[in-house]
Amino acid sequence: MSFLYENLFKLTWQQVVMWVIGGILIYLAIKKEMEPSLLLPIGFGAILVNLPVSGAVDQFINGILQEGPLSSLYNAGIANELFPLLLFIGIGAMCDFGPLLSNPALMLFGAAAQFGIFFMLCLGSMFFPINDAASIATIAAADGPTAIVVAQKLGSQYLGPIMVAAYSYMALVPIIQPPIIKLVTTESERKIHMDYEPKNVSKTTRILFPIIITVVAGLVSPASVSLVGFLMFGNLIKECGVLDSLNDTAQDALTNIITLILGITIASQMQASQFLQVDTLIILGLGLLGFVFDTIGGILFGKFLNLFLKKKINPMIGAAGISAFPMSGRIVHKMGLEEDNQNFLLMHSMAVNVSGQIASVVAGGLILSMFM
Amino acid sequence: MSINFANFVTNIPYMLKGMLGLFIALGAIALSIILLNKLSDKQ
Repeated sequence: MSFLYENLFKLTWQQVVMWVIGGILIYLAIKKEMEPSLLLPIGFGAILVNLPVSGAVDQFINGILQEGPLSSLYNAGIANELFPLLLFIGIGAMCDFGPLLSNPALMLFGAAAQFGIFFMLCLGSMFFPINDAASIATIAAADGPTAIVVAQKLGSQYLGPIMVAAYSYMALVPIIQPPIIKLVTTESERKIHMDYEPKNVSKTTRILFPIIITVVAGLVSPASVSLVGFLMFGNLIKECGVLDSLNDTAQDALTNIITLILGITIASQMQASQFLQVDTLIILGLGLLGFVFDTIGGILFGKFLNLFLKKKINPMIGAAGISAFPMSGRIVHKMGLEEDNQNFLLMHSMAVNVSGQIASVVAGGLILSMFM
Repeated sequence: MSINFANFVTNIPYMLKGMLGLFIALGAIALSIILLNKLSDKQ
């Protein structure tokens, strides 16, 4: 009968701590509805892989490798970056670049709001070797697939904490950004009114846009071609107008299937022995700072432009350049309405938000170009 | 774990290159869109 309880003696306190962390993620997903599609699988997976001699991950038992399904899924789709790239097809199909195409100059806000990535690269290099620091910096991209691809290609040993930090902070954007925005802007700046004058964007422009982005980004940063290419492929499927069923599949079934598998597979990197390190705490701290400096970078760019512009820009829209789509855009719009209930910033903030999506991918590609 | 403060300064060129590369890439994309919009308006 000892076989019923002998495994209990192999349980470590570190595994119990991971159960608690998994439970917190599940609580945030269900009770607070924070990115449930990601936090719930990650949380449950954290519990799965932290049971003693868990059959969910590879184990060596009596010197023989017993394969676990989560490890197999990890090798099949994360180690080769396939799952995040497939997810990008779905994300691209969900993106509406219309507001950005109406006002292309807003693209530069997306660039400014990636400042946190490169600042964290410098800060992270104080604690970690450069490849790990560069991988950790991509947490500030607020873009799970980009963070996974970069960390994998650079051979970072911190993939687990990076993925958990990236997805957790994306879910926390509604909590992280507003105080930072208020800190860096004045009340009069937050009240700056921006009119939306929609321009008619032709179907030709909408179709050529993803192709042009892929070519330009690919020429500047060849390492970003897979990231940018898959994102733009998804968008092209949507905009071409002749692939409705593929578009529906990309937006719904493909995105849901990959999200489901990705979330629980990420957890295979959350085994207590790998995850509960001082390094993990430092990574979580750096990731948070990255989001903060992204927000500050975007806002400061808006303030800089206002030094030269007659028709002022509301600098809050710069904060929407963080790639947390569509939450960041909605947060800025909501904060604008709180200051002035006739100030509708949504189209501008969403344009900046989608430009942030592109910018984060290009930034990931630039990091790969510099360090691979 | 040791903290190497000098690394922050050593890696500033990467930060500058990265931000410059981003602005160039996205600026080029923005210009392409402006050109595309103008061509579409003419048609």
